[in-house]
Amino acid sequence: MRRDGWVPIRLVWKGSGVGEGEAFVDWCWLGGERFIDPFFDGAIEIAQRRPFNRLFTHRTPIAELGWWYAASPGMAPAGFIFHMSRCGSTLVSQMLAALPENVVISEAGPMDRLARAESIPEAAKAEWLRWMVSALGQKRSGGETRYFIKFDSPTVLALPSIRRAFPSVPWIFLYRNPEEVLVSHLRQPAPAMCAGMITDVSALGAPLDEVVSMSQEEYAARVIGRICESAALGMDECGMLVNYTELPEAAWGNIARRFGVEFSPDEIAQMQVVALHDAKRPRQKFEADGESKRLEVSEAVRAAAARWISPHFDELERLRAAAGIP
Amino acid sequence: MEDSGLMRALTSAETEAELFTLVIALGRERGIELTVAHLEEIARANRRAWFERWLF
Repeated sequence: MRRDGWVPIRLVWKGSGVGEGEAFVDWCWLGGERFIDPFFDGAIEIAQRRPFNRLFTHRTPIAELGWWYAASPGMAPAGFIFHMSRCGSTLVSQMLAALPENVVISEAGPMDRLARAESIPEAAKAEWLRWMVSALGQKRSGGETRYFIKFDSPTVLALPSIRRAFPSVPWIFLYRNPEEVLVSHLRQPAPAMCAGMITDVSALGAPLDEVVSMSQEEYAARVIGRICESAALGMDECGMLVNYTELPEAAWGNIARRFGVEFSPDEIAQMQVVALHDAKRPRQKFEADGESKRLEVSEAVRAAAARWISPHFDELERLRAAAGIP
Repeated sequence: MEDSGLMRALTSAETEAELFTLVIALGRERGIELTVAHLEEIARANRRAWFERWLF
């Protein structure tokens, strides 16, 4: 069956858990609507409120994704966006999404969870990732020519799996001053920064007893540190590091060049309009918050950032400088 | 779902009441008797399942 207008929104395992038993896909009807919400889940939440989607649900074995991949291959991704979190990645994805020629998938739950699922054999995971990326990269209005994917921050821990599935797709990793990122998470923690949610605690390399007794500052700092470390370790000829301080100009400069895209002056002007607003709350004007975050840096934040994030941040800065990108 | 005309009709319903009326009529044409209460229960169960996705 053709699946024009349908998007995969969830992977479900019938069995004892992720990667075990049989995999199924839940689909949602989106029609020709573009992804313009800052996050995939937000777009799907809105779509799920439509009368049709409230009444009709659709679940298929994952093999249907493979069939759809063969019958209607989606656009090839022009670039992947990985990030440290709270570092301007949503700004970049929203600037790209402002252009109708672009399909931008931002932190799609089914794709991120598939990439991070450790119990799926690597060969199957690579194939399923290609199917999933293809299904989400279908042209929506017909006029799209470019396809970008922003992953959730912890998904960079699965960078080797993603590179195995897409060895030639250019990618970037965005990062920012460790203390500013940590303060942001203490103000409003992302799920990945809460123990046991999203990020597998075993990724921290600490015994569970130690993990459960960690302060919020230490836990978040160690997760962020692992994210930065994974990006540094995974750096290859397709990757590029981007510091928050290079935004927004890097979106139509270095990042565009890395993704093999040249934006016209009109397109750049559209992207610049996006940069005037808060990327996650587009109705609000953007206000630089680095200064206010630095004023909130406590001794605990300073110590946790210095111990768990800064060594990896410094390595990212060293690699960025060594790459010689202006 | 393979019937593009049927899909177009179903997905163009702008309200739940409009969709339910359409589904009941289309069901009747095919010899299936459906009620608003039945469809409401399906929609409720689907919504519950969507929320419960976070629970495992």
